Amino acid sequence: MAVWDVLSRRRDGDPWQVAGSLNAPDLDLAMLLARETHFRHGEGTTFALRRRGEDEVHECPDPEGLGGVIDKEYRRQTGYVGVGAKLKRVHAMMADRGLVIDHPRPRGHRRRERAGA
Amino acid sequence: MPDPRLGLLLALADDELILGHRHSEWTGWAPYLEEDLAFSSIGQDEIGHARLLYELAEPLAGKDPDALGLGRSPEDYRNAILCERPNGDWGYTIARQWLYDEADDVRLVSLERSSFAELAAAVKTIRLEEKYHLEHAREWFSRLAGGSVEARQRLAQGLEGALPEAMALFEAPPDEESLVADGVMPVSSEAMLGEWLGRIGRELEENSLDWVLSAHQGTGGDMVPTSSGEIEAGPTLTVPGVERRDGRWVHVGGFAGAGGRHGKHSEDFLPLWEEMTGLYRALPGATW
Repeated sequence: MAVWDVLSRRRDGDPWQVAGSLNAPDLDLAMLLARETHFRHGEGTTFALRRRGEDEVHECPDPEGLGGVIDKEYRRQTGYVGVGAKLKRVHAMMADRGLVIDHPRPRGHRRRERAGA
Repeated sequence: MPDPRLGLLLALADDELILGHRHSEWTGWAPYLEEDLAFSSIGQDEIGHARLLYELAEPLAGKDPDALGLGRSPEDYRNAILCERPNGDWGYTIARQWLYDEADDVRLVSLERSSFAELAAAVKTIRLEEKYHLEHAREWFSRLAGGSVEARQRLAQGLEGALPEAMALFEAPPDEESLVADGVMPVSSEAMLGEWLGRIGRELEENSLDWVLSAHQGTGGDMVPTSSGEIEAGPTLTVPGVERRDGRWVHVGGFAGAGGRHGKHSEDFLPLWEEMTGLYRALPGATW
C-alpha cells in the first residue's frame, strides 16, 4: 500500500498546501478516498495527490461537489456544536422512561470483538 | 387511492435510507481507515438523499420527513429486500454496492427527465454525489475481480447471493402504468431492468464472472414477508430469469407476486427497523 500526500487549495488561486496523507494501492482509489478523508467538510476547493517520495503531482480532475452538494449539517463541524449536552439530555430523557442506550455498535460486531479478544 | 408518485418516492427514498443504515454499520470495521471514512461518508450521503426525497413526499403523505423515515410500521417501508440484508463480508458488501449503484444510476438517469419537476431537480442534485458512489463501487469491483483468488471468490459468492435480490430493485412500484403514462417515470421498470442487465452483463463478461448470471435461475431467493413482526414462510416474489441472447444478457419472464415495493420484507428487516427507529419510537416528536 502506497502513501499519498494530499495537497489542497483552500480557495481558488491559493497555493498548494499539504493537508495530510492517506494509504491507497494506486492513484485511482487514492483520488476517491482523498475526497472523503480530507474534504468531506468542504475544507478546500480542489486537491492534488503526490505519491510519497515522488515529484509528480496529480490534480483532481473533477473537484466540483467537494464536501457534498446536499444540505447535510452533519458534514460540517458546526453541526456538532453542543452534541455532548444533547447526548446527555437524550440519555436523561430515555432514563426517565426506563430506557438505556446500550447498543453503540451492531450486535454482530460486538460478538466478533469478543471472539477476537 | 394514494397518489402513485408517493409509492415511487418511498421506493427511492427507502432504498437509500435502509442501505445507508447498513453502510453505517461498517463505521469502525471497514478493511482500513481510509475506506472506513469513505464508506461511512457514502452512508451519510445515502441518508441525505433519502431525506431530500422524503421532503418531496411530505405533501403527498401528510407526514414530515422524520415521520416518513422513522415513524412508519415495518410493512409500510418500500425498500427492495437487497438493501436490508446484513453486510456480510466485504465481498458481499462490494457486490451489493456495485449492483445497487449501477441500478441506481440507470433509474436516476431516467428520472432526470421526469415530468414531476421537483423530482427531476432533486435527482440532478443527487446524481452529483452518486457519481462518486458509482466510481467507488466500480473501483472496488475491479480490485476484487482482479485480485487474489480469495478476493475473487468472495466477490463471486457475494454476486451470486445478491443478484436475484438486485433484480428486484426493478420490481414495479404500485400503479406504475399511470406513472409511465404521465411521464413521472420516463422509462418503465422492465425497460430499466433490461438496460441494467445489459450493463452489468458486459462488465461481468469482461471479468470472466458472467457465470454468476448463468447460474441464476430466476427463483427470487428466499424472500418472505414481514407483517406486524410476524414472519411467514414461503417466497412472495419471483424475479425473471436471465439468458444471453444476440450478444447481450437479457431477462426472461417477469416478476410474480409482491416484494419490497409492496411492503414485503425479509426476516432481516425487523431487527434493522427496531434499531433504526428505536429512539424515534421512544420519543416521538423529540427535537435535536
